[in-house]
Amino acid sequence: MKTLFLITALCFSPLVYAGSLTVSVHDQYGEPVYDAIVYIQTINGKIPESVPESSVVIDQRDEMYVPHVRATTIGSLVDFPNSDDVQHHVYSFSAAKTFELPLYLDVPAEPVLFDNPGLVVLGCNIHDHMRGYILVLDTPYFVEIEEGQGAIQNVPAGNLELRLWHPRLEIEIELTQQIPLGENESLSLAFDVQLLPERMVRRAPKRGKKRY
Amino acid sequence: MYNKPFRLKTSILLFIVSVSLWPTEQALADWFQEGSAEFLFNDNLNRAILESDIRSDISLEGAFVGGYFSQVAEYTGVTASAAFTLAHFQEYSDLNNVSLNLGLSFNHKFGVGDKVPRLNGTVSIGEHKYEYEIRDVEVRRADLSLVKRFNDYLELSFGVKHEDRRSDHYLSLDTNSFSTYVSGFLDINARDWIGFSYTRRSGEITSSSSTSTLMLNASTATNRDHTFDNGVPIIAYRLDAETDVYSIDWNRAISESSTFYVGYEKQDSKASAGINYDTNIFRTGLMLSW
Repeated sequence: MKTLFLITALCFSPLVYAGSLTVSVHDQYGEPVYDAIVYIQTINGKIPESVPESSVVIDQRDEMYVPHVRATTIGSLVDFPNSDDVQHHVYSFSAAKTFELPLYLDVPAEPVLFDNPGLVVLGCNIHDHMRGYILVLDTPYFVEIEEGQGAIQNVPAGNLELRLWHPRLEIEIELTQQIPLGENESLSLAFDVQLLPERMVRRAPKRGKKRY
Repeated sequence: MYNKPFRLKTSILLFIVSVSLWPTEQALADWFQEGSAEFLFNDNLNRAILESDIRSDISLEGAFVGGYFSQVAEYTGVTASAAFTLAHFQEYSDLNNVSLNLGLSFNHKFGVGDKVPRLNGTVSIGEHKYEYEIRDVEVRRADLSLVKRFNDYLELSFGVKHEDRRSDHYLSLDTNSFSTYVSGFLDINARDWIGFSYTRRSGEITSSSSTSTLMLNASTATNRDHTFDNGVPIIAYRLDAETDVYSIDWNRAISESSTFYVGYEKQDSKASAGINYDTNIFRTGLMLSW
């Protein structure tokens, strides 16, 4: 496995009852990574309780899902507004959620309930280059990595099973690592990940191919 | 033989159909524009056999395509487009031309998903006006293809197309052909991809060569071709031929709306009476969309 997992620093947190994790993620070229999700799957071998439900918005702008990657908790309602002036046809065939929102403009009538954990891959049946990801989690402890940085606050002390997911992670499974976290402790973690080349996100013109 | 009023009628018909599909609500149409500039080198412009007859040249071509796409049903969309092109040749200025092509397309997807096959159909009609107006032609094309993405790396198209070129002046430039083809795109990464195609073209070609009894006997029409005269009279012969066309392009996205490409095309024509031609075309260009 080419992915390296490093704990690079340790320091104390001002929080009284819980610790925190500061995470940095870089790719094989040393560039900060976007669209990664780091989450705590279990604490002392148990799935964390009281997962808060939330409302999430995945917009469609300029023929892209915005954000491209989103993490949410199980039981969340997700709205898929269409901010473009063309119709979209949102769909997913993922085991965690299979659904379709056929041809629509503006805002669909109802949000979609994501009631199973797992990865949901979004597509658009009109614009095949559109692809989005929703990672539905049964833990409230997660962070979406932007510009290679993120933090998870108020983490209970214990032995943490930490996972990292990215749509282009080379090993095609989530990276898992056990991390001990003491009370009021703050850990800084660094992930170096091997990512596959990006595909099918481009909309640049192709010689010999019509746009539609 | 092919009178102007008839050509005008077909152009008007296509225009009326395009306008009738004009989206009544702005929100239902996706308007698009693309521009391109391309350098080409053709090592056998006139499709000649003898070395002494072969003419090669470099040309610069610019194109602008604009149109709109409208999703008319859950799985079906239509596109109306207009393409305006300019071509300038370094040496053979008779070939400098402008053209306007109007096209109507439909695409139908057989379900939901990015790997579900699509059926695409296009009809187009175009006027090509040359600096040497004797070469003016009207070009009509019809194309039907099945497009299938197999995975994140590979998309293939299988299709048939028909092309009908009609000249007001030269019977030898009136050509008709039917082609079958397979083409595809191989994605290397988000910025680079390879486009490739193989086409088997059955139908008439125009070959301009010095006087030849063999060519004359094999041809279905002839005219004097002043464009390629070089002290020796050159004749344009219309011949029935089978042509294999192999094409490959390397594309690199410069941004989300621009692409640079380099390509090569080989045309291998086999006409009756053992008359064979090879043509090599090298091209490089830049495409923009907005």
